[in-house]
Amino acid sequence: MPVAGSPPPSVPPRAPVGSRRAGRRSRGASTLPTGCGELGDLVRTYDWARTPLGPIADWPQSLIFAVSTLLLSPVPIVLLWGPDGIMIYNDAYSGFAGGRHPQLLGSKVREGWPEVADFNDHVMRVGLAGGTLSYRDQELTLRRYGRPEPVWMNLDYSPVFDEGGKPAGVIAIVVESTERVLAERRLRESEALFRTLAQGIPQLIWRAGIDGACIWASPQWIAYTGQDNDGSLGWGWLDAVHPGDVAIARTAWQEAAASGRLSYEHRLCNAPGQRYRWFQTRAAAVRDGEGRIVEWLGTSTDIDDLRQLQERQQVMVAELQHRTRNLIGVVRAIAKQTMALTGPGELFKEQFNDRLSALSRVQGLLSRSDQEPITLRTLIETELAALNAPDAQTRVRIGGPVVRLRKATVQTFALALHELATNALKYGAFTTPQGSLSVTWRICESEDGRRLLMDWIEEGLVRPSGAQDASLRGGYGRELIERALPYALKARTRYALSETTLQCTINLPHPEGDTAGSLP
Amino acid sequence: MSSDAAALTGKRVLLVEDDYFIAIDLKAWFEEGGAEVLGPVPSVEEALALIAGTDAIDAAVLDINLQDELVYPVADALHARGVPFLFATGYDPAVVPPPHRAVALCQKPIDPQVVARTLFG
Repeated sequence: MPVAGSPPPSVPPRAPVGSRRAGRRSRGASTLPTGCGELGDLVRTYDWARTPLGPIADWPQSLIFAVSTLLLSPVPIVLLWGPDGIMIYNDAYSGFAGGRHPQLLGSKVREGWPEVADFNDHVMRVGLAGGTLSYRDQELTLRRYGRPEPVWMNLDYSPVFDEGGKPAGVIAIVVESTERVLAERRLRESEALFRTLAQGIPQLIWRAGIDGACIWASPQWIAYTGQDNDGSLGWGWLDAVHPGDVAIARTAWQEAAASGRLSYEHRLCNAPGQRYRWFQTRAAAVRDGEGRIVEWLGTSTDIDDLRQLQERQQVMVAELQHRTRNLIGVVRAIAKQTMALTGPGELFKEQFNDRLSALSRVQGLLSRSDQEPITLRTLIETELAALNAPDAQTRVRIGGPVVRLRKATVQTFALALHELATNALKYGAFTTPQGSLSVTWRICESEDGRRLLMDWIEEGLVRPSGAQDASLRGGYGRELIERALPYALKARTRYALSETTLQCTINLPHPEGDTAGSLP
Repeated sequence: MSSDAAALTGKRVLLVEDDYFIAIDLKAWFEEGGAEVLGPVPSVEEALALIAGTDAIDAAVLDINLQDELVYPVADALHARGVPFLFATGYDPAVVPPPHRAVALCQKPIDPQVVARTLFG
């Protein structure tokens, strides 16, 4: 019996048994239709006599009618007949039943689907009481292929009435929606992931049309720029760009369409901080199936700290270059001046090497001075430590407030201290048993401003007779104290050597702000 | 004495340099060449005072970075008097601002003969 739309297309009855039975009637009622695919054959040939339903010939008209209807339907339908819910279903349902088919046919629903027995008990109770049930995307765990799997279904249950008007079975339309439910779930997860990404990362994210007109801006954009949602749309986002960078932005967008990429740096106004920060904006073209750009997905990344760091580094490199070139000039001058005093030979080598070492130490301090400001104490201790003098612990006293030295003054000061220290080791306080060295300093206010006063006092000296010592002590070190410090640091100095003491006083301008705290 | 140095004889040269060692080195070299050195001075203030108080200046050598100040006011004063001068600096030429870009620049450590040639060559 060909029926439009019945899948698969109706085929002529093949099984002789089926066709014989199909032709029988017992109560003068109509019989099952021929054809109706695999299940049509199975239903007609099944040994229903083994079931509470009895042979088809004995089936009531209502049962025949219900089975005929479902066999002809392309929708997955199962009939649960009688109190036990004996199962009769169509081809579409057999696909849904998976590995359970064909054993499912003719079985009790409770036994056919033991894993959802409770659910079906309820269905039978409601259906046989004349009620209907309807579920959308109902999740059940089925074991259709031997293992449990979550399945989602749209389920509609209606009672089927017997000739006496009493509910005798339940007809169920079972449309599986697992694929759609999972697809929707994946989509939701993907959207949630994008939202999390778009809202969680520090970059400002946006979507723009092919010309650069904004379609959507992430909450970070709104929070950073202070624009409201509508304010950023279209070309509104340009209002947040620094006026000096608007032309750069427009040019970048004009070129983006041709090149398929967008990348430029610009300043963007930060509403909460009320200042502009540097951003790098990049976007990827979203293309359709033909490769045409349909929109842009972009990010704007805050690179302000990075740029500031780069600028600082450039300044530092320039300073370093300046310092290095200057240093070479200083080394050349010191070599020449040392040579003038010592002549060529061992003494030159010794003194020049000492002075190079002192220069090297002060370069080390200077290179760390951004992290660790150079104090007068550091400078004095560095030079004294380099002496490696005997009994330094007991002979030397150092004391004064914390005084930070300006970088520009450090090198000359260090060289002067180096000459004082070297002389103390070779001719002064460290050469006699009773010799001692005291280095103290203080800040004082005077008529010509704030000044730093340092006293270098060696006591317990024994001056050997003769002029040799005076020329040695008065040599290069004395020149630095009496000439270099006044010249380079505007210092007033005094260098007084007596029979038993050396008293050197250095008094130099020390503007406000160069002192921090004090030490005991 | 080289011919470059010979060109220095009798010239009055102003030296502005904040580093003592470099300053006296330069001074010695110019004096050996027969020049009369004005200064050296380590600051803008002292340089301007010296310029104001000196009638005849033939040339000048200016360090750009004088501790915490820049030498450009001295350059302006010399320019106004028509005195030729050059910069001696450890910085790259790029750091010199446009008004002074045309001024000759000697990188440190400077070669006194190059300085002499630049000023009087």
